[in-house]
Amino acid sequence: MAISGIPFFPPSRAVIMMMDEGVCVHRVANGSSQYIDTVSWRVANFEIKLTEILEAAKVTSVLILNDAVEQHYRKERILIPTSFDKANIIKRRLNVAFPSYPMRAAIELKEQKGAGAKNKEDKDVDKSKPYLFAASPSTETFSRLIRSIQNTDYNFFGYGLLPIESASMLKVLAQKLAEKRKAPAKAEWTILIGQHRGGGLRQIVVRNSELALTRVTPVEEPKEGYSDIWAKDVSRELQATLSYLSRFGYSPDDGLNIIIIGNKEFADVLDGMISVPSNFEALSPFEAGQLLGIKLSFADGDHFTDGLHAAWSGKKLALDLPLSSKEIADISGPRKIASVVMLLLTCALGGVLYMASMEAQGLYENSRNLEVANTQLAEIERIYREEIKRKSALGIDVNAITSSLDIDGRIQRQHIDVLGLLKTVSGELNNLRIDSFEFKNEGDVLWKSPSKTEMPPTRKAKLELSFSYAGNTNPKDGNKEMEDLVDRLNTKLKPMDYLASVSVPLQNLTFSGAVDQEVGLTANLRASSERYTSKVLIQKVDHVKSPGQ
Amino acid sequence: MLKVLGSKRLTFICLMVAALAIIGYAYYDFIIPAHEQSTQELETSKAAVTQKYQDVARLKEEYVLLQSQLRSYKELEARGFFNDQDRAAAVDNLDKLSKYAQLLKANLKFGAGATVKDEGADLAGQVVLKSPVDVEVKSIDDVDVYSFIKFVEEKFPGRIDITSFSLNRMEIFDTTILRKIGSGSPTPLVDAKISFDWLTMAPKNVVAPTEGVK
Repeated sequence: MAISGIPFFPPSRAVIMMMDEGVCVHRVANGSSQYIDTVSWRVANFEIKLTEILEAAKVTSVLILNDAVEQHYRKERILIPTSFDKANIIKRRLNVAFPSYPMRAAIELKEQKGAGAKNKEDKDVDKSKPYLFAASPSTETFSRLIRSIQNTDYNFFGYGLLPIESASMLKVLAQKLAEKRKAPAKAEWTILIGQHRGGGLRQIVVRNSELALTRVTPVEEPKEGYSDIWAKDVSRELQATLSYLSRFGYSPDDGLNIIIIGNKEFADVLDGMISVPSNFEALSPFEAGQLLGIKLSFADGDHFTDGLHAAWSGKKLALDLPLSSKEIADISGPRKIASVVMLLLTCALGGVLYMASMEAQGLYENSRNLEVANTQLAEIERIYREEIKRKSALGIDVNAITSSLDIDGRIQRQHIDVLGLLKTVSGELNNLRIDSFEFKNEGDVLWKSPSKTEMPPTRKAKLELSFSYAGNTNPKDGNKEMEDLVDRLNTKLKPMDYLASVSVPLQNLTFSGAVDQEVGLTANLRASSERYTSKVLIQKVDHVKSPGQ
Repeated sequence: MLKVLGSKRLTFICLMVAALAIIGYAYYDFIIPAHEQSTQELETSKAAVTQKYQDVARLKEEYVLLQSQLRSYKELEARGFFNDQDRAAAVDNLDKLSKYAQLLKANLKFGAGATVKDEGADLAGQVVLKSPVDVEVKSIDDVDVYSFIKFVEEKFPGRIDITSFSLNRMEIFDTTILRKIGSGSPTPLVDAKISFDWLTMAPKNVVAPTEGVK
């Protein structure tokens, strides 16, 4: 596919100079202009031929530059109350000014210092601004041109009038020449004269970079050895232009630049023919192009100026005064929309490609990291196997060791040392003698919590000691003895988390006790064989707080 | 309209749309899932590496620890903790211990043993066996009973957990007893009842799986 269809490709432009005799095609790209061909309106299959020329040019867009005689200009002052009304007012005034010309446009001009010579009060009152109205007829020839462009895939850049689009070129050229002369560019007026390929002599007059006048007059092309004939014709036309200029307010005091572009052999002759005081410069198109930073390429001599105009307008990003019409809109509208769609699609594609590339990059990194991880895994598994082998070499079962020690440890931790407890008790008996005892131990010796930090529950262990006293023992004394024993036991047993208490005294001598005893002189005394029994209960507790705690 | 747009422009748009569709499809249906899958695989692999590193570190630690645990394990093994609780051997053992303790008589009752569920033992391919044992003792002196308990705790294979222990001194002033003592026949003056749980570990394959599980 040709790159010409891509709107955002580095721009190259075909400039079609629309003349009275036909069209002249230039290819403008990368700051250079190349003349391609001329097609006469009268040629058979005009549209096909022009389409072929355009197709062969391999450009991205097409610009039509009107260089014909029939161009209409009018300067008007318009009062714009608000910026919102500006477009409507200008459109209405254009309709009034050029009712029969469908292609029309307006451009705001700068206020000329000398023109009108209004005093300050007038300026305050008149807030209108000068506008240049331009129009061009919609002709059959223009329609043929549009159809030719329609047959190509190029974008339509715009339709402009050569004098307006080249007015800015004159200013730049005059400045460059002034710099070259090392003289200040004081002249307000500049006339550019050049021979165009259609046989017309194009004169563009600007005042302070704004178009003042333009003329196209048929002048016979110069011939070798007859340079004076062309020079005389040009001189005559220049004189006519100067006479028109006086009506536009030209005064010799304003300063005048006259720039002739053409073959140096013919142009230099003109110097002696011009009597009006001016800065006269005769340049070849290549010299002018060099000053403007444009490279020109002609195959048909070095006399014609239209290539210079084509290059100047062709490298613009936007036309100064683009004309519009339904014919233009019919072709440029859809193509602009298509260009936007293509741009959006390209952006979307770029975005998706970017995201896809990022994902793909992530995928690639993951695969690389996965390789590294797998290598690490293989290495660590090898180390693991070596460790296992090393343990196996010991001839032991690791799990058997750890689990059996853990189980044994748990049993030991929950173990109640009954012999130790009895030994402690026996150490505190003094002269007392235990008749019997009963030890009970409840709770799971293999208790295991899922949480390693949880403490095991205290096992419910208790030891009940039974003591026997002779029946003639004073119960009060016996109770005292038991209480003393409990005190002694608690002193020793509390650090071991045991607590002792008298569960059964010899006789309950408090209000809750039931006492049955004979008293008096003839009362029967208890025999020593009638025994008292007292019991002391020792219980395992969670944690015994000492009085100080 | 198509003529105005031109074949190249249309072709370009169609190609772009097609390319967008193909790349979009590939992006959402292949690249993203593949990326997610690879990320998941990578995470799994990293986790496996980390786990394995920890295992190796644990093994190394255990190796060092095992050096110290090995002695305790050997001691445990030596005292018969790994035992399938054979009743005949147990009776022999208790008989010997009762004789060492100078008991006049010891009546032994072994209850039905059970396996205790324990994850640690499972991991080692072992089970914990637990059997209730009741011993009724008669002796001349209570010290003999304490000696018997001491011997059982220290010499009996495995571990014991005493669940109950009662001791009663007989009345010595009973004429029958005094007569027996006088005749020189060994007369028990103390009777005691000892109940304990006998705990050992045994390989799973030795113990039938149909046994009760606590």
